[in-house]
Amino acid sequence: MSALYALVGAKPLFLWTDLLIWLLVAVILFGVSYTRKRPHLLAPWHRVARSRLAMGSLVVLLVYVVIGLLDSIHYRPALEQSEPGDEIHYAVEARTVLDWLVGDLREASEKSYSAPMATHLYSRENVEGEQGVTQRDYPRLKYGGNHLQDPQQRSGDITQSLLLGSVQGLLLWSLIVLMLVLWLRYRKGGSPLQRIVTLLRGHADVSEKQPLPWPTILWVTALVSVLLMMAIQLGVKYHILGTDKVGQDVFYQAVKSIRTGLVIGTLTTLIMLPFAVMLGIMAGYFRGWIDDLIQYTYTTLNSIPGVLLIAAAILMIQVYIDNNALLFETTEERSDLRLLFLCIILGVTSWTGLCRLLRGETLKLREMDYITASHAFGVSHLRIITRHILPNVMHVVLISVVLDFSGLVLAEAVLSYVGVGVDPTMHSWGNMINGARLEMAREPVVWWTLLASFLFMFVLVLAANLFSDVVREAFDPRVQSRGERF
Amino acid sequence: MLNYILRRILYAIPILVGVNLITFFLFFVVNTPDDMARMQLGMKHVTPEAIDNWKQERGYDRPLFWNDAAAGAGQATETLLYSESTKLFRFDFGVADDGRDIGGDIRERMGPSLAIAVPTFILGLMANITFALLMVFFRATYLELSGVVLTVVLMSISGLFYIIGGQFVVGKLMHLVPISGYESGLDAFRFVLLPVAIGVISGIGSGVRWYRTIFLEEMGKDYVRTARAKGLPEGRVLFHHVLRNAMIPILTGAVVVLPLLFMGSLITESFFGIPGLGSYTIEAINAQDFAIVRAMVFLGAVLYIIGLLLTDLSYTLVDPRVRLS
Amino acid sequence: MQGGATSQSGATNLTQSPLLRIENLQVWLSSRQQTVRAVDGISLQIERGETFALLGESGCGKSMTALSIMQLLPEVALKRASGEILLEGESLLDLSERQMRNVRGGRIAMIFQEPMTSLNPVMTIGEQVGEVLRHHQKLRAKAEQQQAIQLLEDVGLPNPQQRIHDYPHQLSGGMKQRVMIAIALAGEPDLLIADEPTTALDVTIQAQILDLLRQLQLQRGMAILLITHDLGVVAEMADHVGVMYAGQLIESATREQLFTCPAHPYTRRLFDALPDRSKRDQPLTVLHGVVPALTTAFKGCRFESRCDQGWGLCQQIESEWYRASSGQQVRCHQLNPEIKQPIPDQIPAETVSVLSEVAAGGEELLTIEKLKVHFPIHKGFFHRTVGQVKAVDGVDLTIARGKTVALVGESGCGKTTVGKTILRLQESTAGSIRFSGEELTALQGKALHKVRSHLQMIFQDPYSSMNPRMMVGDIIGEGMDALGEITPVNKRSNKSLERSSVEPRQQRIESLLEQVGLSPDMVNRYPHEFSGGQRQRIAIARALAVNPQLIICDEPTSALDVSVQAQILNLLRKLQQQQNLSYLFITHNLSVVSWFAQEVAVMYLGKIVEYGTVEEVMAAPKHPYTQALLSAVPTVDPESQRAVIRLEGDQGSAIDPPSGCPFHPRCPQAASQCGQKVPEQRWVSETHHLSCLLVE
Repeated sequence: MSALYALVGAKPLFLWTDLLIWLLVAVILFGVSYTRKRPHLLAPWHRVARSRLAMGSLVVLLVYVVIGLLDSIHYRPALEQSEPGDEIHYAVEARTVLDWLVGDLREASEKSYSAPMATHLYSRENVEGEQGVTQRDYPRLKYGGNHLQDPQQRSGDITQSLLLGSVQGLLLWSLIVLMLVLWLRYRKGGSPLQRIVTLLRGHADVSEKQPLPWPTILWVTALVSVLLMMAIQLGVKYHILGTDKVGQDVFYQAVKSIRTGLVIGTLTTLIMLPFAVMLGIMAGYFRGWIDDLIQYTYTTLNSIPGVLLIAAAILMIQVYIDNNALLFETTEERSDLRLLFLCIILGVTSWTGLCRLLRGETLKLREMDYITASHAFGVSHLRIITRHILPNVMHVVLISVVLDFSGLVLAEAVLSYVGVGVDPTMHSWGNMINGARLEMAREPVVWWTLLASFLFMFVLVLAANLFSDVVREAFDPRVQSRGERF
Repeated sequence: MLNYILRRILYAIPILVGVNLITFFLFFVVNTPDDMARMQLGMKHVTPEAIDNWKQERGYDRPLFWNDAAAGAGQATETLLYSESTKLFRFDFGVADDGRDIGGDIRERMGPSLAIAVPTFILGLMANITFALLMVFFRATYLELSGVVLTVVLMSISGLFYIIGGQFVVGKLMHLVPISGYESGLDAFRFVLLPVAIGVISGIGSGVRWYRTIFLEEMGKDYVRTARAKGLPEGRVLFHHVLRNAMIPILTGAVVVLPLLFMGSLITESFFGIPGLGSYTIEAINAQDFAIVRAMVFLGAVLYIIGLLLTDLSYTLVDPRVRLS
Repeated sequence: MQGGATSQSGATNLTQSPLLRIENLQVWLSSRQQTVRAVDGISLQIERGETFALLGESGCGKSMTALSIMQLLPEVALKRASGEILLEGESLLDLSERQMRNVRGGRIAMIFQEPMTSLNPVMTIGEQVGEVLRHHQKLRAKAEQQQAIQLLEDVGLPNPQQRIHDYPHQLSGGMKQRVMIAIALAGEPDLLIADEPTTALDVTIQAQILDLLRQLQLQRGMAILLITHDLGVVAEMADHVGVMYAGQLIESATREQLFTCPAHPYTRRLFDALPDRSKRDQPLTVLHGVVPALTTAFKGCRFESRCDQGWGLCQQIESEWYRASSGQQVRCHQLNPEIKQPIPDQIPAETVSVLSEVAAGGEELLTIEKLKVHFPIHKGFFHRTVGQVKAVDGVDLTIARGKTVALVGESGCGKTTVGKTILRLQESTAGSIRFSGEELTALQGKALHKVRSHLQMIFQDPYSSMNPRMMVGDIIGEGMDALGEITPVNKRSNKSLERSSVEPRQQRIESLLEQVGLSPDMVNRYPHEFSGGQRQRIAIARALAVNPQLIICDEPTSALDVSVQAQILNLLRKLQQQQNLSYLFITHNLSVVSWFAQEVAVMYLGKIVEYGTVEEVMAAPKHPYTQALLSAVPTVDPESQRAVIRLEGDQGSAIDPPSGCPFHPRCPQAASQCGQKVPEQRWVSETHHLSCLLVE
């Protein structure tokens, strides 16, 4: 094994959150394949798929997810051997596939603040002039725009890059459309031209009962791919969103923060879900003392102010981490443990809502005649719960998971601001805001860090909110019946 | 009625005991008094004597759960668990690490917290209900659609940005109000204005959506059809019939948070430099002053339970179908 | 304009315009997915002071017609209404919303099916009545209140002075419907639309409400548009009847015409499908299939698919209105004088045994003695038990093998609790239940599990009785798996198992489906794909799967339309004959009982007040309650000059039942002793007993 690592020059690093994320991906894939065969489970998803809003935001969400997943494969690059034959040492700082893809962006550190697309620092420094005279001036950046002979060429260069980027973006998009056309032809037949027309104009096939809103999907894809290629074109030459106080690229930080946001938004629910579902159903189904006990538990947990519970737990885990520093080989492992615990403790504070919801739903279900019929057959409790109750509360679970996501992403920012969020060394929007909160009071104002975190967070949360709205409407039987009252 | 309240207060005791156990576990078991002392006195250069001193000052030098040294009932009572719990239940919060009396601090800081939280809460509730009603009144028009879109956008923005943006635009660019700070008395008005406004605006997105769902749910019920069949104007149907029914979930949902207003808002207070309980908590967290955090946890739990009690009582006021027994 | 009713009355009544005239009304509701042709070309007219009944099964567009008149259609994406609705010559469709508001609640008022939910729960009934007075009569304060009290008194609400401060939840269902009527009367309407006003009520309460409506109509001279599915109610109330089918009127007749000689094949089948005692020894005539969905684009006659007398023409061309020999207007090609079409032979009716064949008699299968089921009421500081809901309070019952015993009573009398207690879904407080000599109440664990396959249940609501997430095959197989009728098949080890153990299960499920009249290839479908009647068949198959000897049928047909009810009843009787099943048939529908059962037990407030064979109880009831109950059922025979015995008030409370005879507060014959002495069971014949002090 180690020989293989040596050959590749890297050693994989399995972080807890990475494993859980990929487990989640596996669970979702399994869920998809399970649902595909069951028309009654598929029906609400068809409603989601027909919504333009949902599909548009899904494309955006997928971009975030892909970035997050790329950022969830960690490895430790091999350090250069001082002498050949020595034991290979691996870096203490882990990288991810995403880091490898963005290449220089990670190392391209300036001295201090620089504005977006700038070629010079944001503050004056003593610069040695051409004649060896020291003057106070804005020095050139080490990386940002250093390919330009003359900073005056900057605007021309940027325009050129933008054009190039959009052309590349359109090419990428055409490639995607082409693949889609081929796939659709394979699935449904018809001439390629006919397929393209169908896609772009949204004409439903006669054979297709529920057409997907292809035009929306494609336009959003076009927008995303153009933006992506532009960012790549500019990103290699400039700091698109400037640099922060210690000169780190803000764009890179914002992109790296995506993983943190997604982890908090998804793993928290993944961790709390089994407890909430199990306890909620048990309380509603068995009633009596079991119900009393579970209700007591969640009332007690609920009565502790959430932030304080999180704060207390995080402070405790931090003490543990500090006292056991030797357990962690890399900094990533340390901050990862804290992230995991943040997810767990956030889960502890937020499972009560779902639990109560499920209890109420189960109380209603247990009075249904089909449960009575099962009792008349002497079906065991476990079987009734798994076969009758669980499938009939899954929509509640799904709605609450989807609705919780955006709230958790926002909560991360607040918690990091309070100082009980993710590890300060970890990239996260909350940490970015926290670090930059005094910059608005600075003269001249440094606005780009806040803007970057705002934009990245806003787009993710907005897309998630729009998507979850459609999901809720598609799955909530009350909304359904409201539409079909005649 | 009195009987009912008494019973509810009795029910509250096991919950408070549970809260106390959880906090005790977090603050004294996971992290022993020794750890705390070491952290307070500096990690490296602490002598065992200094630690013992520190523990003795605070009364942390007793065993956690069981005192073998004591006699009789003292085995259970002369322990950290017993003494710390009884102190909390007497609302005796002890002293902070800087030697100040926590109880006194809390009393002192309650005022500024309420000065922000109460107006935010009341104005927010009114604004949310008004906008939600308007959206329901104009349902199935573009006005409603744009309202829905706006609320989704508003609720997708982190609360932090409302504060940062508000401070920057109103305080720094326009110089309308001070960016932060607080004064007691009537002068407080200048300092309260911006945080309250921002508090209301940042809550509008999710609030309006939530109330709108409640209203829409009520709109689908049979009695609304009856009201329309009476020939009543839509406004009366909405304000007289729907609103009165919707007030049941709205009011009871609002009442439960009412006591928690005392706790103040962590973020707002710390951003605006309001010397309330919210910023007190944040400062304690940052300074890792566990005595204060524990006191606040307990206080929060007590207030939450009072909120639950008030919720039940408020049901009897707004819903004729509910009678306490 | 093809309106039969209109052209007919148009000839007789040229001088004065009718109160309400609807011409070719079409209401289509569209959403993104589908268009519902809720009302599709209806013409009718209602004269002042007359009662026009709109009759039809569920999903025919009756309520939609009413809501279109009120312009209260549900808020969906797109509505399209065409045609005309004329109220005293004024077109309602052309009125602005503001003008329409003066019509609603003023000139036209409406009452709804569900009095429980139709009143605002947080407003006092005084406010709710007063609101209309203020809006339409411009009454204020004192005058408003006095008028409200007067109205509530008019509708027979006792103590209106105090009651105006009550909230709806403090009233019983019948009282709520009275309040709804008071609200409707407050605007002094010329037309009252009553949408299934008594469907949610018990039969004795229904009689009260119908009485009240008739009385008010006489006093005030208002017209009533009565929407109902119940032929009995029509016979009792209507002057003129319009029969609706799939969004259209298909027959328009006076009551006499309709009940003496129904002309449309559909109407005739509806009458045939009604169970009653005279048909006891023959199967009920069945309308196969269900009412087509209103989303279909029709071509030709809408009833064609279910009609046994149709021919090619019916499939292509929709019929015009023709006058039948007895005078009514009918929409059927059969009555076209220009077409001479031999009426096809009647299709053979379903083969169902006559009751006498079923009633072979047998040994006692189930014996219940002195059964009591009490639910404790907890209250106070430590949840002390402060009282008992005596849901079942001393019930004796015997069911013989192969026979049907009907358990009859109003809602809340405890009949369902009896059924559930037999199945041990509910623990009994006292008494014994013996099944084939084995005491059920004490059975535990394995022994209980074993006996479960002998006892099964069919429920009232075909929608909640099936898990929507399970396929039909699994639903039917559930009991087989749980009770080990056939070795349960573990899905994971499917492949390793011998095919032989898989196949019997599958075969059995398929044969069960066939047995209940469904196609075996339905195993892999989900419940939502089936209609109410089909679901009830699946529920029967599920019960049969474990080879039960006794099936408890808890109102198995009361959620179904008459035509579907007949299918299910026939099926149940056929199965009884084939498998020698016993039924405990719990119902409130007395006409079903007289067709279906051999013995009847009448239950009131947890006690059986009269018990005997159907002949004894239904033909010559002895107990005053049974007599009142039977007289309250509206009959389709308008000739029958029955005197309705009116019962005042509601069934008492099971928490605090009246002393002595539980029925005495409502009993029209009650004597002073009835309030003091609890009546003993008295046998009046070998098979007939009752509990009444007055009957010797």
